[in-house]
Amino acid sequence: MNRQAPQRRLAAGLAAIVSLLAGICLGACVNDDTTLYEVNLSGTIDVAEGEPSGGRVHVEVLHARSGAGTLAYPLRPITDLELDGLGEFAESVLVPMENGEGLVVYAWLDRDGDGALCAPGAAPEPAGIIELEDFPAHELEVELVLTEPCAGPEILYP
Amino acid sequence: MIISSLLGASLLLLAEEAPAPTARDASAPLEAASTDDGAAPASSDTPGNARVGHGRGPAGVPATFTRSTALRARIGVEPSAFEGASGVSSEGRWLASATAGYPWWGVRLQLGLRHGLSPLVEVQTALARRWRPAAGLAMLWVNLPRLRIGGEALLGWLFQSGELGRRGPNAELRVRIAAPLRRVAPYIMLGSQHTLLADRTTVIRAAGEERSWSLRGEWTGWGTVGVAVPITRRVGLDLGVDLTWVDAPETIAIPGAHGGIIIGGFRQDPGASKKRRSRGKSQSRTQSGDAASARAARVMPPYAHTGASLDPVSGGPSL
Repeated sequence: MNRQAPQRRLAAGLAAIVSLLAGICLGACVNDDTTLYEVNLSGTIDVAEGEPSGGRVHVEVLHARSGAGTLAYPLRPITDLELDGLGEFAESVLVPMENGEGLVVYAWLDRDGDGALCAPGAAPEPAGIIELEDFPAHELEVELVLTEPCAGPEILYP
Repeated sequence: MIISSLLGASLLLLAEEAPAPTARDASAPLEAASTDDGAAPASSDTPGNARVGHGRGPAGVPATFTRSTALRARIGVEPSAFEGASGVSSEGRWLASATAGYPWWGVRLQLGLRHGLSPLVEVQTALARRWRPAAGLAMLWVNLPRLRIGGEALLGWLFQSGELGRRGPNAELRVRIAAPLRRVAPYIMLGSQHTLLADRTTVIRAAGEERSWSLRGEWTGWGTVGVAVPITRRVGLDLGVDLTWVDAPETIAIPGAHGGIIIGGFRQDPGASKKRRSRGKSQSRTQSGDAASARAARVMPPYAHTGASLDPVSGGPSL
């Protein structure tokens, strides 16, 4: 018994030292510590009644605000999506939590299929934006009607 | 421009250096070693045999010394600044150096062992934002009268604060080329520094959190052209131009410069210890000690052939 006690203390001490070193190593090892929040977006994107509805839909997911103080700015891009057309959709997005606050979805309809929002001599392409007030939440509903022709997100927000 | 000026100055000094660098001071009489222990006089024309006798050190310090006593001490007696230039200390000697400049600062300690090996520790920083403590081993590969080539391997940890914060294990390989002359030792140091950076990604899903790790590397190339200048045998200066490329090739290289001080010494007073050890021993033992001295002359790395002096008071080498 008496012989085992010092050995146990030694083993416990060694385990504590190893744990401490491992903790320091892990704590001192991390460089970029990124936290991504998964958001499942679902809902519908449409145009006003009577408007032409052909073409692909370009969607941009953005932070509503980013930065702090005098360096704060709106609409920091997170990711781009491309939908086959208007109507219902469901997409998953990973939102980096350190880069900004709030979540905004902007979309426009690419009627002529050139990949660019409007162009000289081309027909107007409708756009729309919506801020998802319920963020952060894993399931978010999007109901967006594209009504503003040739408008970028910076014009439509806030 | 600065580098080319330094190189030009070094070449001029090389051209003006008439005597072999084994004689650190051309003004010193090239007497054969005094034979206080009965050892054979040393030949002055071979690297392993120093020209010794009575003379003045590089700093003009009057001194007397015998090669045989230096051999018994089994230590090199070169100015510390020269050992700082080549990055390797001779057996039994220690060396400390501190450098300051833009952007690099550093502190280094090293100890000379046998076979031209020198374990070392150093702390390097750039503007107090990037820190790299490291431990390593230096080794002398080429030891010619006017040329020293050595290598160093270091393992450490990188800590960088600020927006571009970095931390992780770090390894560095260096090659040092030094040309010890009579008064100065120009040197070039090339380094390749590698840091392993670990990133952590946490994905928060409705079902729970997922955590994953990934690794990436950072490479820093290093080049220094400098000159070590002995002030005394113990103390010297280190001046140099640094060209470092941190996180190459994704960044730009920022040139810098540094100035520093080199201080060297002995782990113990070898002369005194030898005296203690030999006290009371017979003459035959003394003669066998001379034989040991002769053996030491063959294995003594790396600066035994250089001129030096022994302190007349302590009996140890006078630096």
